Amino acid sequence: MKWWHRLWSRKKMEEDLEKELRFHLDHHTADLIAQGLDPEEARRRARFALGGPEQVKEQCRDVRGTRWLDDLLQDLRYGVRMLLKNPGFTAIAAITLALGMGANTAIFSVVNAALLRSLPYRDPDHLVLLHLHRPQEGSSLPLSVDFLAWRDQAKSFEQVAAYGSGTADLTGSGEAERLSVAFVSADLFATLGVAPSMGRAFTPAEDTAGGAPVVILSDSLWRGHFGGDPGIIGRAIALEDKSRTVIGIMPQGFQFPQKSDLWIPLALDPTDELRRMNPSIYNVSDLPSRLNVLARLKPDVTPEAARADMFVILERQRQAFPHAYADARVGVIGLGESLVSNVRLALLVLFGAVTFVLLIACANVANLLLARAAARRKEMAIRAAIGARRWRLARQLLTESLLLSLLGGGAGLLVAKWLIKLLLAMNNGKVARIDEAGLDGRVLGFTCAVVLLTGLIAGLFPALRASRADVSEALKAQDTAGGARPAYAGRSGLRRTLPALMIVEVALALVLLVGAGLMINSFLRVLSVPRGYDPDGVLTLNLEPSLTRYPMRSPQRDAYFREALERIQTLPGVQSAGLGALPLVASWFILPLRIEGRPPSERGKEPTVLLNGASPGYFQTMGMQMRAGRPCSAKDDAAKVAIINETLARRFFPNENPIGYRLLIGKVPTTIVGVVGDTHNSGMDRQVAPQVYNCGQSAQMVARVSPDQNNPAGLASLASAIRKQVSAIDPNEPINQVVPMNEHLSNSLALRRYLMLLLGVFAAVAFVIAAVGIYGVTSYAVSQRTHEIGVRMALGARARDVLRMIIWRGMGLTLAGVALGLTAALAMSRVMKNLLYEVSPTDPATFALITSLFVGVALIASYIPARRATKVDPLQALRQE
Amino acid sequence: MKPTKSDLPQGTLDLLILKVVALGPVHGYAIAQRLDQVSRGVVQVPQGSLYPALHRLENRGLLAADWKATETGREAKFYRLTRKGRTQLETEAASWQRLTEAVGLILKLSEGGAK
Repeated sequence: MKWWHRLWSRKKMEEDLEKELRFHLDHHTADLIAQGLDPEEARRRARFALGGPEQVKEQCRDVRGTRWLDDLLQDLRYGVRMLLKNPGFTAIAAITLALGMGANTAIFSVVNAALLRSLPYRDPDHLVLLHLHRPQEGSSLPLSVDFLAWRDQAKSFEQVAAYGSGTADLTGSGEAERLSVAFVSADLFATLGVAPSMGRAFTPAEDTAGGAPVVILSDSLWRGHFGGDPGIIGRAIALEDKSRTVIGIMPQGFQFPQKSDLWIPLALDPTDELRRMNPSIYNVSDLPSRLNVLARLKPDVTPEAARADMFVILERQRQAFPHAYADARVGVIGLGESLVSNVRLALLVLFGAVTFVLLIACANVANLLLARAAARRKEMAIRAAIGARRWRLARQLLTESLLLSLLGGGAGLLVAKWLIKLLLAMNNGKVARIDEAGLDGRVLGFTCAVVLLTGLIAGLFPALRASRADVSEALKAQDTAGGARPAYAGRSGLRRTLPALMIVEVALALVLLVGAGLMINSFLRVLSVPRGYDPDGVLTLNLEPSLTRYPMRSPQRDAYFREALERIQTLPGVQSAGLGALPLVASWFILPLRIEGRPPSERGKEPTVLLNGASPGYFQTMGMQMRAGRPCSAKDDAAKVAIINETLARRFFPNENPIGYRLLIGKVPTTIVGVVGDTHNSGMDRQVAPQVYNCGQSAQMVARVSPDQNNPAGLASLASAIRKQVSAIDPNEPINQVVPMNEHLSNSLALRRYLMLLLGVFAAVAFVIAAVGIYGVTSYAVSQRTHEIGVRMALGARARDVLRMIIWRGMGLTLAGVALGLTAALAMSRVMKNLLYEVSPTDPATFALITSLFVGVALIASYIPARRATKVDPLQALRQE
Repeated sequence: MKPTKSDLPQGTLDLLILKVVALGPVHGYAIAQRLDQVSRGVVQVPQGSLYPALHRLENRGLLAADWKATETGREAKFYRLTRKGRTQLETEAASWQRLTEAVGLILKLSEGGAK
């Protein structure tokens, strides 16, 4: 008989075993009676000779070889029955675990998508981005000459490719559609190791100035816009009114650079740029274009070696163009790393936080299991007495906790599914890699491992403790009513274990709370940073007329902007409007600053400023305050006047009035006519840079609505009116969405806010669990000491003394946990340093506040049971003995 | 597996059971009695370890069992030797023989040495 065979005939085998042993006993008894013993004595002796029938049976079952399976099935059945018998306990434990594991799974799926999964390219570990840091320009992106130098001279790379991105209008087929277009060098696809799914990639000939006009489509554009027609290859499409032949379709899901709809050859012509490298002029109109450079390392080359290689090339460039390369440094960074570098720390901190939550949940369930194991001590003792071994008992309890964990894990997956959806909504496409987070095989594997580990961690301790039950003591202990002295394990066992678990819970929760507290503190500080403008009731629109029909600095473009402004200004419901460099949205020109009449700085060491435009009316519309002088007026020659921000005034005119000074940053000197308050351009948590506004136009239109329209309905109807007006200027121009300024503001804080919210929720959950833990342990202590309290009160102790005694015990444990937690938090909060804003990782105020909060809640949590203790009636307590 | 509580050297119980069963189909109680009688009480087989041993041998395919009526008319589980069991018995018996002979020789030797 094979073991699985025996499994099916289990019941029959049990009956046979019973029958066989009965036959033996009966036969032996009969023989003994025949020898002259009285039946009672004969039966007793026969039994004695055989040994305990149950023990013999156990041994017989042991040799079957299906023992483990039998036991497992038995344990499972028993476990399910126990869980069903205590639905309240089961629900609380399972929900606790489901929350812990669900949060863990969700965060892991994001970590998996963003940090662990490899990129969908050939040998992604060998792909690196090449940077050239020019500190005065605040940029890390190389110029096309740098790219060409690296491509032609570097020995560390198999391939070097460049790309940039922008927008282009797809015209010619109905309404114009604005698409994201990537400009790529011919070998970009080969560098990534991805080939078009249809057609072919670019040839080097196409990637030259004057090469054939070709284009490659993304799978989604091909399916969405061209209906997935395979005949598209070889056909021409109109892009910015220029005809380009489609030569290929990229595979589905290919997104490099992010969210590209189509790719066209970069076709670099560096002659202009080389000319500009000469240190003569360096002004707005001639700003060089910047590229992203991607390279594939040769198999045995490390990024460090590649950096050394590039350094040699840089030295050569420095000799040729000392001005342009004065402080330049080269950088080599892994592609995968670069895609997530801004969220890596946040994700790891979150992952740490959810692990803490899960550990606390484990401790909590372990607590529950311990308490229940105590109640089941008699059952365990009886089972031990009739022959169950210790490991067998422990295993049964472990099966129960694993079942519980499995239940929690199942429910946790639902929690995770919902949480992932929430996280994706929060991410809102900001980190592309996170968008692919989901419950894939690896995540499910992780969840299974978590379920197993959780079951073991939560169950092992209670299982070992319960299975150590001392048979005779447990059976002797009276089953007293009212729990005056319940049959708890050992004299010291539970009384030591529960507090230990509680201390750990408190410590973990405290660490989480401190982390969340630091984040909240940072967030409040970011919020309280003066914005410098009033976003309420301001609508914004990014104007991006096609560069083909409205080239940069052309009269057509100026006219387009002017007409847009005029149309909006006269719209009913609009108080004022302007065009200007919108904080958080506009990109600024970075230029070296020179002030007329002051000695020029050393070449290449000039301080830099940000330059952009602000039309008359812009500052007023935005609610920005003039600190001195005046804003632009319609009478100004736009190029000849400048408004500087406060930071610039403070830094470069510390003790003077800047009004009247002339700045040399453009082609013509501009005169400072005013100083305007600071605004944060790249984020509220970033430093404000020195800024110059000329009176020219910037691409962002702002409109302040009249107060009676400043409500959701009014804003929505004005938004569509604004779009309609702008669209009427040139029906062929696609128009962007009108966005309330408040939305830009809240978007800019989104990552920080979500991180704070998530950490806060996790910490709050941990806090509640820990508070319940303190309450539970104190209650337990009170119930255990009812008798003692009764005696004390009978001997004259006052309620106050009892109260103090009980509270002191609860607080002692809490303080131990707090001390442990504070130590851990001090050691660990340093990790968060880069996520904080103007808050030190060991911020004493946060630490003090969290500690006092904790101690306060612990006081309440132990006061409630302590008060109950003072209500003990001494007579009642003593009578129970 | 638990150590047998028998006073017999490890493994001998199996050999003895195989030998008794080799004489003809027999039930557990009869095996216990026969071991008792034949060894004239020298070999104490705790009945508690008899059944686990029987089941083990059955599981290993050395014994087979059928339910048959005894002379008193009750059903009992009768064990008989399988072919595999017979081979096992022969090898075990032979090796036991060799072992006891060798041990005997050694014991004699040492006595001779003392003389």
